[in-house]
Amino acid sequence: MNCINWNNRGAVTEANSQQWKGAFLDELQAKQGDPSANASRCPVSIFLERTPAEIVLTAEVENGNDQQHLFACVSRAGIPAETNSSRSLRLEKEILWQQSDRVLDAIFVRAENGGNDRLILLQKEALVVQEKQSGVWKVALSKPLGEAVVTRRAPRGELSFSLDQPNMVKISFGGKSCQAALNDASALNCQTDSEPARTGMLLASTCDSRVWWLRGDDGDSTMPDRFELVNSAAPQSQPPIAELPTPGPILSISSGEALRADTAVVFNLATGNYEIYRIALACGQ
Amino acid sequence: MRFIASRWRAASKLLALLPALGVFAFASFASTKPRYGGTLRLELLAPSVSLDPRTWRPGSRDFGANERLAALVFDRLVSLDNFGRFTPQLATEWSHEGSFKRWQFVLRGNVRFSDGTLLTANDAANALAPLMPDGLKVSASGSSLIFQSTDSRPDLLELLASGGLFVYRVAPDGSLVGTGAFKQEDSTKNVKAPTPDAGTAQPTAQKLRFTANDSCWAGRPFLNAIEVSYGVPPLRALFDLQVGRAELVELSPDVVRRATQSNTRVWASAPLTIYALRFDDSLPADSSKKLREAFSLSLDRSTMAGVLLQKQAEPAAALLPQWLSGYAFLFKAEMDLERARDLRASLPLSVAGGTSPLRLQSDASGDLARLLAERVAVNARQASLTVQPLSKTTGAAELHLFAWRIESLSAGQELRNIAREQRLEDSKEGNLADPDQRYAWERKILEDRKLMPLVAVPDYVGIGLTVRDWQPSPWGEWRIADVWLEPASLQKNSAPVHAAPTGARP
Repeated sequence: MNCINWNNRGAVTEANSQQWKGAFLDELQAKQGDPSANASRCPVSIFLERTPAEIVLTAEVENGNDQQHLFACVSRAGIPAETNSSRSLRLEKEILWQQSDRVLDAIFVRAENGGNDRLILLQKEALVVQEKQSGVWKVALSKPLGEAVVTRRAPRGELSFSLDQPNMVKISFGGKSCQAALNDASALNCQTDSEPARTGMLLASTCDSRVWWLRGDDGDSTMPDRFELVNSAAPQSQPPIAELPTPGPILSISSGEALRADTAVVFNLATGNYEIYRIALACGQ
Repeated sequence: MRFIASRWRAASKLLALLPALGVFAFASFASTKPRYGGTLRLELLAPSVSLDPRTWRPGSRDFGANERLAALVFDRLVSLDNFGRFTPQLATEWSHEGSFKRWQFVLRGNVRFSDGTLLTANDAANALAPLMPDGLKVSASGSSLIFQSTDSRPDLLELLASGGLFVYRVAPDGSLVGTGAFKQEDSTKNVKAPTPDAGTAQPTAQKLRFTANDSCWAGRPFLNAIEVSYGVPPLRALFDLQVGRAELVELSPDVVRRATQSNTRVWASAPLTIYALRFDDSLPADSSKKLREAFSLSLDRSTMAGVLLQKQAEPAAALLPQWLSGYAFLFKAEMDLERARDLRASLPLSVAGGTSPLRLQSDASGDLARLLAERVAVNARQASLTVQPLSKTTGAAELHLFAWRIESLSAGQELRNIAREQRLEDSKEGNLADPDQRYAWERKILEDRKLMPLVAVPDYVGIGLTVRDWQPSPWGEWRIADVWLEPASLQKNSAPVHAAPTGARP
């Protein structure tokens, strides 16, 4: 096998490339005998090229002073990674709200059972719940954070929401977490906590049954950011499968719709506003 | 189904979001959702157009413009998406026998032509029959089409998804009616059924207008209308785009640099037009072979692509471009002046190119062809070969410069078309859908050096700032039915930054 020079010229993913390497060697062996067994036929170079409908595999075999070329074609539609709907996933963002006051985190909760859509905003000093009534957002609740007020220069805070407890939200600050009721003015119930900060959020695809990881690209906060969709199994090491630029840094990503969509806070560098987006996955390009 | 789905999906989203629009009327929101309406003004360089695929000549320069306009009005049985997937259009499913000689396509039901008549399998068979390559026949069977070939045609889907293989119906007045997203206004003016000796349809106007087909099976297009001007000079097209008199313009390669320098959005296809030389058989066979080799070794393709064409083209050593064949990189065409001079010196001076010049006639029109012809003469001179570019078509020339526009996604069919149009011997290889056999034939043609590729040139399009969802295929389909226009009042917050050329890779 050492004499095989394998060249994937951007035709397929590296994983597929390696898988094909084995398959092509089998094909070559059937036509030429074992290329690795006959030193006179080394080196063998294999090139993978993409055409509109196929991946063309070319073997260039040294044959004395001459070169022999062998070909094999594979339909692109037949390649799992090519037909996998992840290749045609698209991130879509829908702006829900914007304001000039700082927003640390936000969660959009889609109405169920005839209720109203809700937008929960974690601000520096208050938790604000807005409800959409007759197409207009109206403040339904504004709850002071009290002792939990964030006083850092770069304040951080995260919201966690579960559809199982639709009238409760958990607020996590650095070293502290609080339970807050969304349907009354009761004070926050806080306790010490050491939950690490979130680096992204899961996001389910309606195009298939997969769940992905949505993250920002962690750039400088003075620079526009972008959403990146990566494999949830190993989000750190995976290249993004879909991207979506934003007009500024992404401050938080949360979910209030059981991962069917996420909510993100973006600081718009052009307007200075905090913008709340609903991020969802769409099929196709 | 991707494009169909995208249109339907977009429409349903719009409806769902209507109640919210009044509240969240942020400009950026509005700019990212497709809008219906507007007229797209399109300018083409082609001096004449024909929407009748029966009149198109394979490889001709105008093929691209014809195909793009026809794609507004007509549909194909299948299409190929950018991910290599064949997707249903007028055919919803297909199957073939193990030998790939017999294929069956089931037609989509309840599809109507833009004049309201129902599409039948007979209509489709009648439309496709005169467009089929040799050895391939199509017939109707119930609601299906049967394709029967004398040879194995594993590439039939590639064939049907490209070129002129559109489904149409000839109306009683001779005009062609389609099922596509648009219909041509006053189609009798510009769409002509061919007469027995018709070579190309003659346009009677410099403008065409297409309006949305509200009853299109794939959903109404976003645009209300498209106004097409053709025969527009290259600089005029760029100017019109820049001053907002057109939203989409074809750009010639020589103005692309100027366009990008002025921050115009420019899209480039994969290289679609091959400029090449053809040697006639008029020279004595014994000396002709050496002469062709010397000539070939004198050609400096890199300079042609890099300097003459300002890097808006690629040097071409193969007839089929890399994106189509996947193996073009195996062909090398290095310049070797020393070897070229030695070969020339071994030939008698009386052989053409010695005391008497090789006459080079350009079969392709335009400034680019003229420049290339002059460059070829300069290169040849460096190898002690004299070449005389002819300014007029005389018919008496040993060398011809021609341009070939790739039309088919079937690499084998394309190679066969090139060979036939350039009067080469037909392939001795059996099945050109087989890359081994196709490569062997192309290699033989190139080693024979009767055809010498020079450069491969992409199509270029200048795109206005209001054009949205411009997502063409790398092989040159524009897919205008998916394009929508953003109202100028909303441009400010949403104008895309430069549309980077999508490049040559599918």
